[in-house]
Amino acid sequence: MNTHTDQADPRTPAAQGGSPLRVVIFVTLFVAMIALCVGICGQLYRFLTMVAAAFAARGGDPAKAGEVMKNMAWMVDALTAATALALASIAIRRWIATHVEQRAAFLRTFFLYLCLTAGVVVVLFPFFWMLCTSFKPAGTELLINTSNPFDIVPAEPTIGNFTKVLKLDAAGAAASVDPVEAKKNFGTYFMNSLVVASLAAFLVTLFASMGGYVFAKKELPYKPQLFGVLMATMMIPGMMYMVPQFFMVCSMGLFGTKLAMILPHLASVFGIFMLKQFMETIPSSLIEAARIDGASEWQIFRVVIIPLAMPIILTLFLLTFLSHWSNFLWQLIVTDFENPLSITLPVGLALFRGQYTSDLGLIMSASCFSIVPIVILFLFAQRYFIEGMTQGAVKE
Amino acid sequence: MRYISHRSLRAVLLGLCAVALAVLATGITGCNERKTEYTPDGRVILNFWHTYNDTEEAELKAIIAEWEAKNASWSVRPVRIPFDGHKPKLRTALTVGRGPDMARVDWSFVCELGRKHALVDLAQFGFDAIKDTYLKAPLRTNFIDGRYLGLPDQTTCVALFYNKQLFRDAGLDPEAPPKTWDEFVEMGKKLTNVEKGTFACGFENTLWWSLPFFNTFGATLISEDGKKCLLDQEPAIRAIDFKRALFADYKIEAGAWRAGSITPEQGFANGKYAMIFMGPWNLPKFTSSKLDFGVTLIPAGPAGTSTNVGGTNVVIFNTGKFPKACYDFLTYFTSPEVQARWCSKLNQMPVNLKAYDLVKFDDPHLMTFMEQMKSAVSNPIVTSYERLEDFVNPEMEAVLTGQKTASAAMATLARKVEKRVLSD
Repeated sequence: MNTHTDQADPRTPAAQGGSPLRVVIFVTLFVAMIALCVGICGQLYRFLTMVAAAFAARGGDPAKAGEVMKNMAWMVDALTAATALALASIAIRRWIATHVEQRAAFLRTFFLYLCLTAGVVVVLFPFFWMLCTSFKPAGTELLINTSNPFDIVPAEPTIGNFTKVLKLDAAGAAASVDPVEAKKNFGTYFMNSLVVASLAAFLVTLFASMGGYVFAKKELPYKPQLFGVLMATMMIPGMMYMVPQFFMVCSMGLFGTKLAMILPHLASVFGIFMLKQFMETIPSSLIEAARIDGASEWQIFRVVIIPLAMPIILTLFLLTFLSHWSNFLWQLIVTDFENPLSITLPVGLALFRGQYTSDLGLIMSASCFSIVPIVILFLFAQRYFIEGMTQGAVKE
Repeated sequence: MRYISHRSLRAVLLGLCAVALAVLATGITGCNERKTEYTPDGRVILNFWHTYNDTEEAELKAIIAEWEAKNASWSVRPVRIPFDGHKPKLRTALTVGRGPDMARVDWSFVCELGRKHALVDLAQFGFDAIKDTYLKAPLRTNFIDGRYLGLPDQTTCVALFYNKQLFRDAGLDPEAPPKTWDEFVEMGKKLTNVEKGTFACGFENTLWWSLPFFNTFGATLISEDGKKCLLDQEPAIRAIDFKRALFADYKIEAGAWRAGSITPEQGFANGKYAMIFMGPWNLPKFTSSKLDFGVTLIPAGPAGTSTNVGGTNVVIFNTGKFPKACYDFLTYFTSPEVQARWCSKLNQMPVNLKAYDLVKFDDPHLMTFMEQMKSAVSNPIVTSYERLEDFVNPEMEAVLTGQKTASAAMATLARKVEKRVLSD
């Protein structure tokens, strides 16, 4: 019996038995890719032309901006088609260039990238919706494009929401006559939030690092009991502290100041716990070695502990920054509304919401600015953040 | 390894306790002191916390200027706070004695403030003589345990919004919207087209939004003395069962109350729901979206047409030293002439009955709301309206989803409300 002829050659495409199937899968993925590309690029290019049209239209007139957009529609279609063609040619060239044996791996990677792209779309869609809504004229924020529900770019955009938020419009100019009213604008609220969140994040991280170090590496009487008491305080809801803390802040004469927003939250039990867990993983021999070399306590903390714990410290910084950046209730309570320098972003944004209605366009345009620091922080510190989250989660 | 001794630790802890006590002690003495403030020209300043928007605030300042011109001893300082959070802001401020002289608050907040003895009884200023000039239903939200503790400054209610184009598409006369619930159901069947994704109506399912159902069926939710919940009575059961039938039996309600559904507002704006309950606050939005719509009275039930009450009240705090001056300002602010000007300019409904003949609106739909307001029934007055909603809403949803019958759900609910809400 000639077994060679009976058994198929595993290296030939026909012998693999899945080659036509792979072609079918490739075509399916290819079509999905083109559909995704047309959908994403179409919206992105439309968004860019919309922004250009909104700024180009004189007086922020939505109808005029809509006309400009219509005139630029061919450009959107051309750019979308060009991008889709470019992507299609890349995909086909790669497919052809890939060796038959590696095509299964190619398809897996192709599928993975498509899934990741779809995931990115899902994650970023709310931000895109926010950006688009910020250009919508009042009253049209909730309107859906009936011919294409996925088209959320406004057909008649305006920059009116941005000028109103920044008080660059006529009403804002009129209000600027009063020096106090002039300061009640988004820029002031933004800077106030930036100062409060940055300062709080820095100080909380500093004190939590010190606390965490002591609980992780130092000996002191009743340490487990003290730590237990600290941990027990985490079980008490933060709302319970609100009135006593407000009482103390007022008695210190800090009402309506940025310090009032920061001071009561400087002792972060969660931060101490998080850093202690991490610092316990740092070998004590390193500390001993530093001590033998003549390092003081402060030097050990600064030169040995801090650099080793940097990922978790940056994670805590980010978390604290985020919580203070978006903290509404406490900041609202200690805000003196007669003093614009004490109004922070979350509180300022709340002024756009009424009893039954919200100025969605204004809220969204203000939110466009408010997410900028968060995005920058995450972009710069994402590696540390992910590292810190996983490292703080386990103790080896 | 260096140790911190027990003695030094004890000293540190004792020191910390001493500092904390000292801070608290100064707080007790310092926080409750409230000094009278004066303007540079010697007028006494009355602090007025409000939640008006930009346009309303500008109008308010003009009214304040007018009042100050007539009252040389006083100056009103308007302080704008966000509506979202005005309750915790006031609660904490009043707790430490830093509250304002007067404030504009949500209608449901007056009862809580009144029962916590934070408000001034208006009877001492002769309010009884003018109380009948205010609209009954909004005024009733200030009547707490036999005393008027505030007065309405802005009122609102819901009426039936309907999409004229969808009426035409269904072969119905767009100028003849339903007048009764029976007509509503009949028209609703013609307006519903499940294949196209259009429904006759879409409703919220919170208590406040459901009050028009209860009121048109003649249901009273809380007894006059505030001690008994009457949700288990026949009219209330019939009301909630009718709402269930719209969704489950007639299938003309879209289920807009379900999580993730298109909200009534969005569904109406996009031509998905032909009829919704909505207040006058959305008139500019729908008008600017070029929607062809009309506004009519809530369909009549066994008790005729009726609606709920929304809006805000103004109250005077008993921590202030000049309640009479505050009262004078607030009655001026809500006087017929000022109300007429305010409402005409801002397209709002007046709270003062005498202002009804004086207002002129750009938007004719507002006249329907003014008509609807006359048949409004006061909302249930309880210390914590939010808690009442927390109990009622899930039970109503259980009825709508068919998990419970209306009578069973309402019977359980009534006892629960009496025990957990009315016992405060």
